[in-house]
Amino acid sequence: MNPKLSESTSEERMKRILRTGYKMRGHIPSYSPKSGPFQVILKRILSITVLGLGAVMALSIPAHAAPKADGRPDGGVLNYSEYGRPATLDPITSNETISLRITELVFNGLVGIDEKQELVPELAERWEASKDGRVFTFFLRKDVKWHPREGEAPRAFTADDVVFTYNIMMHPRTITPLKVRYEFIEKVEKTGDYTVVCTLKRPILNALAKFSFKIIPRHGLANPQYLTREDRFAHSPIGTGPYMLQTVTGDGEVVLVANPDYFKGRAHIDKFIARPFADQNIMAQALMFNAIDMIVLVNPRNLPEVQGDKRFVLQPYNALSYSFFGYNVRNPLLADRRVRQAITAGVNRQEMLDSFFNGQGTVISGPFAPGSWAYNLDVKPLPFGAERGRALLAEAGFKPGADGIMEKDGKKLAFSLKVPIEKESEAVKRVVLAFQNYLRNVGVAIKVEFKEWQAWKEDVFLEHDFDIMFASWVFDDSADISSLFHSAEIGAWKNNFGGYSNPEVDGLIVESKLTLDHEKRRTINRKLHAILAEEQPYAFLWTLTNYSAYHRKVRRVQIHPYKFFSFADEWFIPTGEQK
Amino acid sequence: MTRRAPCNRLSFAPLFVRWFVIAVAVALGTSAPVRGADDPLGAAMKLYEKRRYEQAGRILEDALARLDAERRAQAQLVLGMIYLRNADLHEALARTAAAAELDYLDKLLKTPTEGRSRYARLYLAEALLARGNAAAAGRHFEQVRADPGIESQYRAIAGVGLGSVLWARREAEKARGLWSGAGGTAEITLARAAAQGRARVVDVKSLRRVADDASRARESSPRARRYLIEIYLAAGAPDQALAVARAADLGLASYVERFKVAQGTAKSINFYDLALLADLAQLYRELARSRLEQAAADARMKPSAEYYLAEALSGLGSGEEALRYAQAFLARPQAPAQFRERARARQALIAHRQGRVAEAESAWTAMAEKANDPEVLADIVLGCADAEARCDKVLARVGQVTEAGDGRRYQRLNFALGSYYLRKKDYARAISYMEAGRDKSNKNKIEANDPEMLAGLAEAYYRTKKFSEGLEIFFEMSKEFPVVRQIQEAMQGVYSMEQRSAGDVKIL
Repeated sequence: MNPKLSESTSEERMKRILRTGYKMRGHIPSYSPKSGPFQVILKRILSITVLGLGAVMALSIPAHAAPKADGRPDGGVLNYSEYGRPATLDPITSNETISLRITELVFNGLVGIDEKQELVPELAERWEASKDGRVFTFFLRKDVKWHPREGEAPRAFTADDVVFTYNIMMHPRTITPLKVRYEFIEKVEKTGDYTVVCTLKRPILNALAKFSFKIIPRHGLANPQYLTREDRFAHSPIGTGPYMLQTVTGDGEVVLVANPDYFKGRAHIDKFIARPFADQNIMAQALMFNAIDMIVLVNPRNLPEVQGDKRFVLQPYNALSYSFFGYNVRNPLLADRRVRQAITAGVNRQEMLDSFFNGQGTVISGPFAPGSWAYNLDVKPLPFGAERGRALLAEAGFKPGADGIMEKDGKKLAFSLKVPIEKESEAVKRVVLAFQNYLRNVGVAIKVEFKEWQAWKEDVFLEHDFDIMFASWVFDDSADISSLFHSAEIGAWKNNFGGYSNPEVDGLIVESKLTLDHEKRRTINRKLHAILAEEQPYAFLWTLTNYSAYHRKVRRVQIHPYKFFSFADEWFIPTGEQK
Repeated sequence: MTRRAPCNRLSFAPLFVRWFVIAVAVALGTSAPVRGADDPLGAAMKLYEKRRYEQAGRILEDALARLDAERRAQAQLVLGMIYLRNADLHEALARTAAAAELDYLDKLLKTPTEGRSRYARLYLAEALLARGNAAAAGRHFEQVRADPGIESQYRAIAGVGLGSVLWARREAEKARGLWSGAGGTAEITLARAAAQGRARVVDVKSLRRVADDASRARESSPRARRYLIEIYLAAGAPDQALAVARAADLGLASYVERFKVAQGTAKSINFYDLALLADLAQLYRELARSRLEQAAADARMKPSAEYYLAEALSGLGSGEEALRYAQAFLARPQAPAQFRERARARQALIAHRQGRVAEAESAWTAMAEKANDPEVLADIVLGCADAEARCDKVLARVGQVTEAGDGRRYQRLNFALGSYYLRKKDYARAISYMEAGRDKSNKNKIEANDPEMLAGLAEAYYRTKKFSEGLEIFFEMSKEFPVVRQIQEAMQGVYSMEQRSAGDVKIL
């Protein structure tokens, strides 16, 4: 064992990882009878019995879906690292990437999107669109089964499930960030057991791609009306996807097994296990020690080490993400834009990026990542300058108190900063401490509070009990920021956690959704970028250099840039390298 | 063919340059030079090693007049190298730009009638012409001329473009007819002169007069500046062209089409001149020739100058002259072995371009079988890529070398292989090799990864619809090379139209 690891405070965890790793590679005893006449006869009797039993079973149990006809072997287990544990495992209530990756393995949409950005059939085998672009008819596959609950036979997927999913999603009591995305749908109706008609309020750009939302089973929820995080389904989901949830262990490991009835053919790899890591820093070590086979997002500081090891492949991924400090503008002090601008001006983002992430990333100016089509290339990041920060605060009526902290009308410029503990990597700790120090120079006091992931999420998204928070968003290719900044998205578990409200921004977001003109939408997004860069509902920080890493034994790996596991049913591990 | 001096992770300083610096230092009887802040040569070399070619070039150009004869010769040699690398980069950028911009303009033309761009057709025509597709360009130029919704100036410019199409089809009289006439706006005059200059139907003096007159204008549009660069190049005045390029913001749009609406947001579309990138590539190659010829006048610089002149002249299409310089270099007994081999690889490329295909491919194969030096192998592969030759045996041999080696140590070789497969349109392999050589800790930084490789990688990502990866590359690159703005805009445009996403966002 690496001597350095034994000094680590995470030694016990590493030992557990390694022990688990040994278990996964455990020897499976095989039966090998001795040869001799009696043994030969016994063997023949046993063979006949087994064959007979097999024939009887074949008659009574439906055959599994056909295997993939690609000649690649089945088998093996893929252990991958996760940043913490998912709050929920269903595709409706979750708003975090950890859950997204798991739901991608467990569920399907009506349509899928392949690596060439082409729409492909999934639960719908084909579709028709009306000429006016308002009516979409989906003809569903008839060979799809839901993952069975224990002791139950698999049930068939039908149009009822699609209608049910839509109704659940849009129910006023279902807490989900999806409502805003699907507000354009007027109604979803079944016209047959395997036919669904979706009528839109108006035609929209990219309508078909929107129907990639995941379908959930009508029989799956404890409450058939609406879905909350307390429902059993949110923690023990059943889907139609290539993998089924087997268990969530006491350590928070999510174990998924290949669905033998998957309609595209059983996935090759037997098992996926998501292993949560409280400390990002040891993920690379776990990979090096073969405790895991894949890291979803490599800590930038570990890139040289991983790149230098020929056992592993690094694939770029997740370019459309950025980190930020988000403000709660319900706090009257933060409602003043000049205060927010002063905070951003007072923080040397480039210096933080260079010092804590080895410069592996790029400072951003607004609400889109530099790799996004919506990024306004003319908007530069607000320049750093403590003096400018102090000037902005002075303009807002603040004066330094005896302790150097700015105050106005008896109120000090002092804020809480809440950071999720799963993000407590060395780099993040340094970022928040640096943030605190920079702002002291501007006359702003910051009290840092690290909180456990679930508790942090409740504070920020449910109770709104925070002044400033630190997090990162990850986007798909659509550059849709409506759920983040539209005023209708303020509320419990909604993405506009800071309560930001600007009628001009609302208007532009709506205009962007209504237009059918791509270039007009680009122009609108450029405007949104410029406004939000000025308004600073967040201190927009940076996009980091993002790579996933995996062992070379995992073959045919295509990683979806946002959903990650979209093509994981095609991955395989050669027989000789399976564990 | 990329014929750069080698770069590796441990030291950015090209080995050959070190060789020549030490050689010069010995000749001058000085110790190994100490590069202080007041030493333009040292400062330029540092910037060159970081691939900041524009900055490196400026420092040396500004310093040339005040250097003594000996150091001026050194500076001219280094300038030659800088311009060669900059030329290669702009050629790669031109290829990537073509991929994205032709797609983008084509898609703009296919949008529904209401709100369709009128100017996309003009820019598409010019882009097609710049990439040698005269037939398709001609059809579009004709439609632009016939469109009353387009400003008369641009209809006239379309007429000039059509003249270039006819000239390419050897319909000389019709071409001259379209180019004839006087007056019109400054841009029409310059468009005409640029077209005539390319066709060599106007004498150099007249071209210079037109360009010098236009240069005196207080402000020139981006389009006018592009024409000026072309005119000066046609007039054999690359230094004047360089002055125009340096004074310009090369990231500015050539034209912004603004649409009117009764209410809501009025959209606007930015258009750029694809030809500008190829013009800059040619400009830098001409400047490289000029500086290297000046350096070659100094006996101490001559051997190194010969080596790079072979490259510059080969890139300018002067095969015979390039061959003479290559042979002159090879005739020198003191040339280091690595560079001797690389010069031979270049000879083979020149032969290939002159039609001696079998001779060239045979030479490359023989060299690859004996070579172990990854820099030499890289030059061979890049030669195959440039020539679009089939080099199966070379690739088999090189594949063995890269399999055994560290991706980053063989960065240039992996880049060469990536370039080869990029030209062969095998984008998955191109990405695989270029990523193998990429310094992932400094993913998009030009100091750590050759920007020419990054441009090729961005093209491969674009072609495989991984748009955000390509855009990330250019976001970083635009800080040193603002001219990539046109590629960014085109990629963003195509991406916005092609992406198929539901509109999701999650907390990381």
